[in-house]
Amino acid sequence: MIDEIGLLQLFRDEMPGPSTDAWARARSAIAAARLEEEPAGPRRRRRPWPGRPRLLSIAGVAVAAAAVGGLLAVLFPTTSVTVTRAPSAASAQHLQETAYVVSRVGQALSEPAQRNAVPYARTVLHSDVILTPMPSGVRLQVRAGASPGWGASSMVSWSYRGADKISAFTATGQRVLDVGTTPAPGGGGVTVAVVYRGATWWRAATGPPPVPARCGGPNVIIGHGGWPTFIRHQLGCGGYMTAGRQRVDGVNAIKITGGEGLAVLWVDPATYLPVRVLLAIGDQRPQTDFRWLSTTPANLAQLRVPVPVGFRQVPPPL
Amino acid sequence: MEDERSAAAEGRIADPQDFEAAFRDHFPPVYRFIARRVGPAIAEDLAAETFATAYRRRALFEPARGSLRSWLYGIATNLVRNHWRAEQHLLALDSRLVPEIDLPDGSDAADQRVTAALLAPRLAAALQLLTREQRDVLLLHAWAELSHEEIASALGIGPGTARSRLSRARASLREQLGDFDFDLWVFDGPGAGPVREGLARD
Repeated sequence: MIDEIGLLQLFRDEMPGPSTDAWARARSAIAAARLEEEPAGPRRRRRPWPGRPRLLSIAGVAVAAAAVGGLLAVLFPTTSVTVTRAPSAASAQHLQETAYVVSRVGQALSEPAQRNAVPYARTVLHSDVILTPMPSGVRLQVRAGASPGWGASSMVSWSYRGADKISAFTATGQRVLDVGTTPAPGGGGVTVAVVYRGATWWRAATGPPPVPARCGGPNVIIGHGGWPTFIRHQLGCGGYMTAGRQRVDGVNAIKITGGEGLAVLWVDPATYLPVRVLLAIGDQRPQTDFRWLSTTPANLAQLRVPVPVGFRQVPPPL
Repeated sequence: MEDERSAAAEGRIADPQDFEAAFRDHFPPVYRFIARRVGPAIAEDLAAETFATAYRRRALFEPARGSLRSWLYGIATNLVRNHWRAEQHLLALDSRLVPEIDLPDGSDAADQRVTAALLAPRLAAALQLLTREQRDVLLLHAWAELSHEEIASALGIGPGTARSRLSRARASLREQLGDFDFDLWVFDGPGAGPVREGLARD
């Protein structure tokens, strides 16, 4: 005779055990938990060993370590990590942890994950960094001679579902410029820039946002999609490694170092959203702090770019 | 390896190496338990989170208060609770299944597994009607094969509470199965239990 427990034991009895991916995912999650236990405190950035660096793809190492599966390759097909020697067991584990953290940051910044968030970022700028509004976003570069652009002490950015706005201010709080992009059906967008110092403004219709082709270089462009898109792209450029934990704004954040566009990135281990980044613009390292705000009417109103009465419309820059 | 195995068997997991051994031993059954409840798509995440949570809290695990197995199933059950709707949806789908099994003539002798497959929609519907607490206790007992004491330890409830919840859950399941004859593996009387429906279709 069988009883109801015996019947239940036969119910869904054909369910298979964990796949290789399931094992890998679990191992990665444990590796991330282990990473969280690392003592907080700054670490010195690793110096490359002499000789030609060897490039290993994260996905390759992750497979070798049976760790991350295809997740990373899907998220960042071009992601790579520069290491300087064949990975020992310890460094393979470090790469595995890095791969996991980078993939989680990528997921946290993806469009579906960001649908109900309003990322707010505040950047403290050095006097040597100038801003140039362009139809594709705002370019930040180190001042060199008579380069076009505007100096500012700080820059704030708001984003929401493909719309974004960047405003720059002087040390005394005077507005220098506003640049806002509104997505248009079909993938393009309309960018409106108001330059307060010149009392001018321009409007430019843009095509679908181009995939940023370049990693690193002398300047940084915060373009369509705002900071989430920028950080995802930079992480996709590779060269990043986790570097322990550091307390940032009350968060025992995971520190990630080593990229060309982003010198350092700190992420919240609970959400994998960035807490702070240091941009790499020439020899300058402007700091940006993030808040991930909710979609209140007040926050969404920040995305508007009003054109003050009396400002003169000019052609957009090429 | 021998040391790792013995450490895991004794429920020692504070050391990362011991935890690794425990992970290797317990991951497959815990994963399967979760997959049976919410499906394999969600199970991968929840099983991974179960062991990541266990790693973070391993210092809090006290073998004297319960087995490692029950502790892990307790974490898994807590995580599964957040996916109540997914679990209900899966049960609803199963309850609407029409078994496609060819039974030979003389189905009285049909394999119990075949009968169980024919019963699956009815079991799914019955599980769907249980409360969360009843379902947790019942499935920890049936699928994870935990004792009353282990269920109590896993869920942080008293052994008496575990026993009474299990008893009520079993009674409720029996009631939902209605006219099923547990001795003969058939539904009694006229009316159409799933076995007869299945046979009639064939």
